[in-house]
Parts: sequence; C-alpha cells; structure tokens
Amino acid sequence: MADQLVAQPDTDQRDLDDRQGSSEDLESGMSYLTKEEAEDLFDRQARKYLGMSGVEFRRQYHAGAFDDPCRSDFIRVYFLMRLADE
Amino acid sequence: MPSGRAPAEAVERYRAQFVETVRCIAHGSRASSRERRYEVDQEYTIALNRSEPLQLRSSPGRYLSASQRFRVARNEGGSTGPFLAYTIEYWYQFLFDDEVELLAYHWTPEAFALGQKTYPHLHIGAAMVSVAAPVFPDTFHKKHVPSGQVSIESVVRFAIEELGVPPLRRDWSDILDRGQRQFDDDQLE
Repeated sequence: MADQLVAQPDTDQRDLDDRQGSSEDLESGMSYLTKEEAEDLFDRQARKYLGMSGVEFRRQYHAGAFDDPCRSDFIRVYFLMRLADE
Repeated sequence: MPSGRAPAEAVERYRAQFVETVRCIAHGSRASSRERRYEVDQEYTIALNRSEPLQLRSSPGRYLSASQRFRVARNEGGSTGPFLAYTIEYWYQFLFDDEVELLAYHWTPEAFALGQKTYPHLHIGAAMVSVAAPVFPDTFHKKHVPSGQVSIESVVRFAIEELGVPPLRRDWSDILDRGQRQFDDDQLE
C-alpha cells in the first residue's frame, strides 16, 4: 500500500498458526471463530495464563472466588470467556 | 461512532476501525471475533491476536494486548445509518519482553462477578515502580489509578508519541483522529 512506511510482517504468529477451522479474512484482519473454537481458545488461554481450565475459570468467576481479579491475566481470560459465551 | 444501515454493518465498521487503528503500529495484526447473528442490544467481543501479546517488531521487546466488548444500538436520526456500535468494556496492556507489564488500562463494568473495580482505571506495572519509591514500592502496581474511558486510538497514539513506537502509516494521525472522534461521540451518550 502506498501509505505504508514499513512493509515487514509484524504479527506474532505463535498462536495464529493453529487457527484451523476458523474463517480468516486476511485483508480485514478478522478471524471469525465458531462457538467451539472460541471455547477452545478460552480454555487454552485460561490454562496458559492462570493454570486452570476454562470450565474452572467460569465456575470461579460466577462464584466471585478470585483473590486477585485485577491481575491483567484474569482480565485477559475474562474477555475470552465473554467471547466464548456469545 | 461506527454506524450502519444494518446491525451487521455497524459491527463490521467497529471491527474495521479497531484493526486499522492497531495496524498503525503493528503491520498485519489480526483480531478474533465470533461469527454470529448481529442484532440490536447484543454484545460482541473483539480480541487482538487471539489475546496473546502482540509483538511490535518495529520496537524490539515491546508488546501490546487489547480486547474490547461493544454493543449494538439503534441510532435514530443518525446521519450515517440507523444502527451504531459502541464500546462497553476494554482492556489494553503494554508489556516488555512478552511478560513484564508496563501499563494496563482496565474498564470492565459488566464483570460483576470478577470483583474487579468497575470504573475505568490504569495500573502502573510493578517493573515501572522504583524499589526506592517513598510509598507503596511493593504494592503500587495493584492500585487503581482512575482514568476516563480510554479508546484504542489514544492507546496507539500514546505508543507512537510517548513510547517511541514508529508508526507504520503516513496517515496514522488521521486514522486515530477519526476513530477518537467516533469514540468520543459514542461514549458521551
């Protein structure tokens, strides 16, 4: 594109490469997830960042059981729970 | 505000503005959202880079995380369409080396069960607080510094103008100005 100053790829690909099944629109930059894919992403990131399953995160969330909910990793997973619950 | 002739159009405009904004500093960045029916009074989530920190390769060691939730509403009399999409929650985070939090902006008024402060606030990363600070050297990163509602556009502008992240487009300021106007119009309602 004419208005690009730098043309090198800048996306962290670590978790983008396993997006099989999702609908990807490269030009718009959107990846459209099915409910199952969103639930899987939520579960994986809950395990990675908080060491618990998505099911356990959802249970503790609704029980108000988090000791330190302001940690950004809780917020990170909270948004993915919302995405999965849509 | 991102608006349209149908709810779907308002949603797509909202998402497009989000991606275009982030692409001012992260070329080729992508965001995830659900594929579903678009209806009035429904909420939608958009997560940058599948909620992984996105490396800003033009600025080694710097990463950005960002997610937003937004809602579709009627916009009777709107000049660009009868539907709009507006931000209801967000989370932005700057990191160094993928794991050291520098700053985090939180606004999650609908996270009723999280026990989180529901007003918009800022966290200063623990790594940014000197151990010689006269007060709260070990706990200041847990303090909720009140903020106004912060747009993704102002976060990207902060990265460019204050953190020295090089913009990737010559028209970056125009893109951010346009999105900020939309955000301001929307959030004041």
